[in-house]
This record gives sequence, structure tokens and C-alpha cells, in this order.
Amino acid sequence: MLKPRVDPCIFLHGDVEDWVALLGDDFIRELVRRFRHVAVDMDQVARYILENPGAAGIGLRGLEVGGPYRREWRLFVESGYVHPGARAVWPYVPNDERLDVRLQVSPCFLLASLSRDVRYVWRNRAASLFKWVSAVPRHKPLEVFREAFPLWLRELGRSRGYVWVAWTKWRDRRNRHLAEWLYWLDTGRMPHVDAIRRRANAVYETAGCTKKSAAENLYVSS
Amino acid sequence: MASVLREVETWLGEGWRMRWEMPQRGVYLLKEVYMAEPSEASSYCRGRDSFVVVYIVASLEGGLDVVYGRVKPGVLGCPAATFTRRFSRAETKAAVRTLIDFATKVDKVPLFQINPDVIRFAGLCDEYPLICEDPAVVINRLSADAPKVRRQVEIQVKPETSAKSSLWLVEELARILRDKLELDGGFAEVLKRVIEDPDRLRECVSRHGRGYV
Repeated sequence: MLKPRVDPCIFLHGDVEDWVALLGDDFIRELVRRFRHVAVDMDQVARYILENPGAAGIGLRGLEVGGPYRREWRLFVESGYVHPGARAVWPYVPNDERLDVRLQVSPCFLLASLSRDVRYVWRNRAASLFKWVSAVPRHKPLEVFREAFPLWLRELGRSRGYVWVAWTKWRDRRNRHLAEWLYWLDTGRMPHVDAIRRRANAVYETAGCTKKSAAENLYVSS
Repeated sequence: MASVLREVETWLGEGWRMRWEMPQRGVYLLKEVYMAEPSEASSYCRGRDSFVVVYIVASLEGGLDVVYGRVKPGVLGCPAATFTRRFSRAETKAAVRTLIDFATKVDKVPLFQINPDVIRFAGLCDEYPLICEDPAVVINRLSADAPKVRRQVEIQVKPETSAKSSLWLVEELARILRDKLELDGGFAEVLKRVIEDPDRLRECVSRHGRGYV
């Protein structure tokens, strides 16, 4: 039985070395075997899945997966479903700012096969997305979203930091999902996978950009 | 019933085995929205002995079954016949192509009812761009290719090939309209206009249809 040390979101993470390190050699061999009609080696398989995330769930049907993420894998392998919740954990920053962007779905949800229920979740929980795209893209989603996202939002992630974005609010909810989207769009990597690989600095480095409202009162420039 | 099954068997050819059962589980070739509910099918076949629901299953090694059938899995009050054949992973393209051919040629299913994720997984998007791409992208590509292809047509290809491809596109359009009509009565208006002025549609089709020669 295969025991990957990461959840299925790895299929949206654009770093093949991380795939190999976290999925394990046996999983990689099985992946190449199952996609050999479209790819000959791991690099090609990774590129094919990154460009067509909907194909991953179909290709892995019938696979037996255990390990710490077995529940996510079983759901993904048997029904092509991935939970829409945010995965990354962001250090707390007091923040009462509000962003009028309704994006309460993780980019990982792109791996879920588009059934009627999944479409409803996209429309309902990620309503803002459909101001920028007409439908959920099934081919090269990273490129499509990089073009579609408004520049002011992308800039917000870079200038104020992903952590700051994660603790802003949409109504009474935090924008943790949105922070994942901005990180993914900027780097092509999933923040929680980087955290598993102990690249915490890469994930949280923009936390330094975050302004603390209380600090502004203390340090008034003369 | 027997004649239908014999026809299916003949069309599929060697290597397929038939069983009186529903497919176990798998990925369906058609989009969920275009498959009938089992209760609908059951009410349709009640009192008719000749009615049988046919499933075609391409069973790929490693546990992936690609299933073509027009009724969703569930409790079905009709006889269900499942034709199955095992394929190796290297034959994935051929297996999925067989199911698409059966769906489009025997059952006359319009291409857009096919689940694009299955076609993407099989790597058949180049062969079936209408399934994978957004309609706007297909039309843009056709109009971009049109002048180049037209030149090639003038030099090499016989005119009957061009006519054949236009005919294919007209047939596809007719299928789409028929299907839309079933889902939404408002499309009757579209159909009426096409019937009133078929030349307009023909012009449009011949302008875009050459991209497929």
C-alpha cells in the first residue's frame, strides 16, 4: 500500500522534486505507469497533471492509499472529490480590514471532478471568481487565473503579505483561502506543501510587510 | 431486445463479454447532467419487454473502468446489459476512442455531452477539440486557420472533402439544437429562425467548416 506524506493538493504544486520527496518512489512509479499513454517520465507526467488537474483523479482510480492523509486520498481516488477548505496555517496577525472578495475555496478544489454539487460549491463559495472567469478552467488553470485575477489583488498579496491577506475578513470569515490563491498564483506552489517541506520562510517571508495597527500609534515618524 | 444486443456485439467486435448486470463503478464518459435518472428509465421501460439499458465498459488495468451508458448508476427497474473488455494502460487512447465512437456513431450522442476530463485524461483533446475546448476558443481557432487551410484546399484537396466536413458540422449543429430543445423550450425560436433562413446558417458553416479539412 502506498503511503504518501502529503495530501492530493501536491498535484497543483509546481515542483517535481517535492512530488518525489513526498509521494515516494513507489507512488511515482505507479503514476508514470498509469499515465504512460500521454507521458514517458515523471517530468512529463507532472507537467500533464499540472496543466490538466481534472485528469489526476481519473488516472488514480482504484489505487490503494494509506498513510497520514489516507482519508483525503481515499475520497479523491474513489470519487474524484477534494475538500474545498483552506490547508495552510498562517501565523496570527491582528487584522480587522475587510476585503470585498468572496473566495472561500482553496485552489486545491480545482482537482475535484466537476459534478453538479462541485459546481454549486464553486458558484456559491467562490462567487467573486466568476467576475473574472466565465467557467472553472480545466486546462492550464494557473495561467488562466494569473491573467484573470485583478492586479490590485495580486499586488496586495505582494505588498502587504499573504499573512495579512489571510487575516483580513470577508463578512465574518477570514480570507485564508484567498491567501492560498495569491501564494499559488505568485509562486506556482501550494503554501501548505512548502510548509511540510519546511520552507516556512518562503511561505511567511511577506509577514514582515504586515503593518500592525497598534505599532503605527507607537512609532510616529517625526 | 436480442436483436439490439446482437447489433451492439457486432459493432464492438471481438474481445467484449456481455453480462446481465450494472457496471460496478467507474468514470462515466457522459457528463452527469446529460444522463437519465434510473427512476425515469424504469418508468419508461415498464411494460415493454423489448427495452434494455446497455452499458459499455472499457476496463483499464489497475482498477479504472471507463463506462459509457445513458442512465446514471442506481436502482434500475430495467434489464441492464454490460459489455466489458479489458485494456492495458498503453491502450487507454484506443479504449476511450472506442467508447466515443460508439456514443457518437451508434447512439448519435452530441460531442458536447461527453465529459472533457475523461478525454483529457486519455490525451485525446487533439482529436476532439470540440469536447475539450471552450466553444469560443474553437471558433477563434477555426477563423484563424481558415485562410491557411483554404489555400491548402485550393491546391490539394478535392472539393468533396470540404463538403463532407461541412456536412459533419451541420449534423453536429442539428444534434446540439435537438438536444438544447429537450432541455430548454426557448431554443424552439432558434430552430425556427434556422428553418426560415437556412442559407444564413449554411454560409456561416461553410465559412468556419473549412478549418476542419
